[in-house]
Amino acid sequence: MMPALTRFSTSQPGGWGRAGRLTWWLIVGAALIAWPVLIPSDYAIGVAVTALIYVALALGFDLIAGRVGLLSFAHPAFFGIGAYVAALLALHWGIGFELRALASIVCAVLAATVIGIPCFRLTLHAFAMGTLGFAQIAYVVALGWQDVTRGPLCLPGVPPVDFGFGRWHWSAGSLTDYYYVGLGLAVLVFISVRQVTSGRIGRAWKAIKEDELLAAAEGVPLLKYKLLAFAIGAGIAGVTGAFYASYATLVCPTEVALTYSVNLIIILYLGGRASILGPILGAVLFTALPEYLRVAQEWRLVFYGVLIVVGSVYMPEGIVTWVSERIQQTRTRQRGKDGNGADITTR
Amino acid sequence: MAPTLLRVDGVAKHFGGVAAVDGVSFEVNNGEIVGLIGPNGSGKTTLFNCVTGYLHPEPPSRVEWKGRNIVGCRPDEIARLGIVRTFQDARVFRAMSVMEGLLMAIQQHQEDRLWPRFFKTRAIRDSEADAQGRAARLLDMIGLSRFADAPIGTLSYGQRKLFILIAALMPMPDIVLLDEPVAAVNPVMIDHIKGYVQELNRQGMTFLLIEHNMDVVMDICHRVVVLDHGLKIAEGTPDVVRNDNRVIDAYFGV
Repeated sequence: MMPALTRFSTSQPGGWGRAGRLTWWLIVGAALIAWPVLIPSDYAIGVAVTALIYVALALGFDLIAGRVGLLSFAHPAFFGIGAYVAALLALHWGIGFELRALASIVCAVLAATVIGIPCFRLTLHAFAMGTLGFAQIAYVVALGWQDVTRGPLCLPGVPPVDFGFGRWHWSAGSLTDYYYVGLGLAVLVFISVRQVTSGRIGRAWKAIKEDELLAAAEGVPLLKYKLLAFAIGAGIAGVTGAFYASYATLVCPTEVALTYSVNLIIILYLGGRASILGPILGAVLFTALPEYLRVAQEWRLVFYGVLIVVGSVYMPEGIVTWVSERIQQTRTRQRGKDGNGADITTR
Repeated sequence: MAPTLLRVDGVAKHFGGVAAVDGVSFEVNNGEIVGLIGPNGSGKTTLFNCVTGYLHPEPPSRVEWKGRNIVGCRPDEIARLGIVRTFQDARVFRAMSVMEGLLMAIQQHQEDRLWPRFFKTRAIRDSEADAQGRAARLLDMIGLSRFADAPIGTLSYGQRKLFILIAALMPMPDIVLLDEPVAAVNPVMIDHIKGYVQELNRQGMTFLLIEHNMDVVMDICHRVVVLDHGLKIAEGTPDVVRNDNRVIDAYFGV
């Protein structure tokens, strides 16, 4: 009885075995750890840190924009809240990084809950407009509340990332240190997102995305699950903001500006939505490409525009989804040729 | 007499002054198959929506589930009480695999706190395995086992109707509300679906179904409630209803 059930595995029948996957992870892990040693230029490491920040942000953004399928413009606001909260706590009270990061997460999650509850009552487009309104308010506050944020003068001199445990204390000094902290952050985000999307929570999101009425009929509390995606995304953005504040040592109102929303949307549409590799690939391409295109700086935005247009015409679901669909098709065709495709037609 | 599961009591719903459902009352007892029929626009689906929380009927409408008024509850809350419904237009999650769609149909009826789900505790993994076993048995029953890994969107219309029926059964509900289970389905498949509903009813499942196919209604329903212009015009066994003058008028009259 039991062996028969294995036929109904819900996981995709993968081409690689467990050993193959492990090897793959080890290679990727080793390459990521060795990166600053392999290419020891400050410039390359700086680009990599930016890429890691975008990876974390995009993975969190994908939860709401990709998995649940609701376009939100509020994401940079959560990043900005995280950055400002961390910077203010460090500058005024000298609070350590762990607590700053925690406070950033809490504030971003609170903000997401407060604006999520009214905004999720709105339909698709109105939801986007609602979050856009919130993003604009956040920007105006960052710019105008000069007693606290110093407005356009920014908050300079944010102390570095540091960790303390008893008498042991470590503080990030070099760019390479920031690379490893950023890598740790991105890996933590990656693991959390994978954990939450691969199980029943992810399945409920998938149901909401495809058909809210049917999802409700199958017992999914819509508001609770939408808020969950929004809040986790916000928490990730918040902690990333706390990291960024220390890395840049400076927090400006431009961090909250709309351009970041546009960047995140480009990343998701480029890489692929509702997948774990899509936002990562998108973030890496988005940060790495312009650096290679520096030779033609003034054409960069034009190139982006063309890339987005070509991408949305030929790969509307993003690179990762496009590739995995091709692989799936080839595999199905292959199975048909081998005659093993019988599980569809006969038996 | 079997205990009353669902009591619809004076349910009314107006859309812009027009009464879609105008004070309808009836009961569904445990173990029954009750048919809800009536011409197009007579308020059958509106009534379904009022019972399942998609529409809020106007006071003093009451919908009692096992003695408790459920008017004002959300659709997902009502579903988790054990009232499962299907939709007229064969709604499915097209992108999910057949197995995943069945697992989706039951998961909210199992442990639904978020922390265990995030950490995938032993309890969650066990209930997932249980659900897979149940889904496999139901797929086997309707002969669609070989499609377990296929996307639901690739099923034919008739297969989809069968899938919807077993998805409704996944969470072991107390009652299933079927909205036109055999609409636009070929005669052979109609017989299949009819057979499954009767077989499941023999095993104790209660059904309330909207259906236009009179042969099916007269064959399988124990009782029939007839609506016309939002009013209940008749109720009784299929034989009684079939010979009721008001019913004949509503269907064939001017």
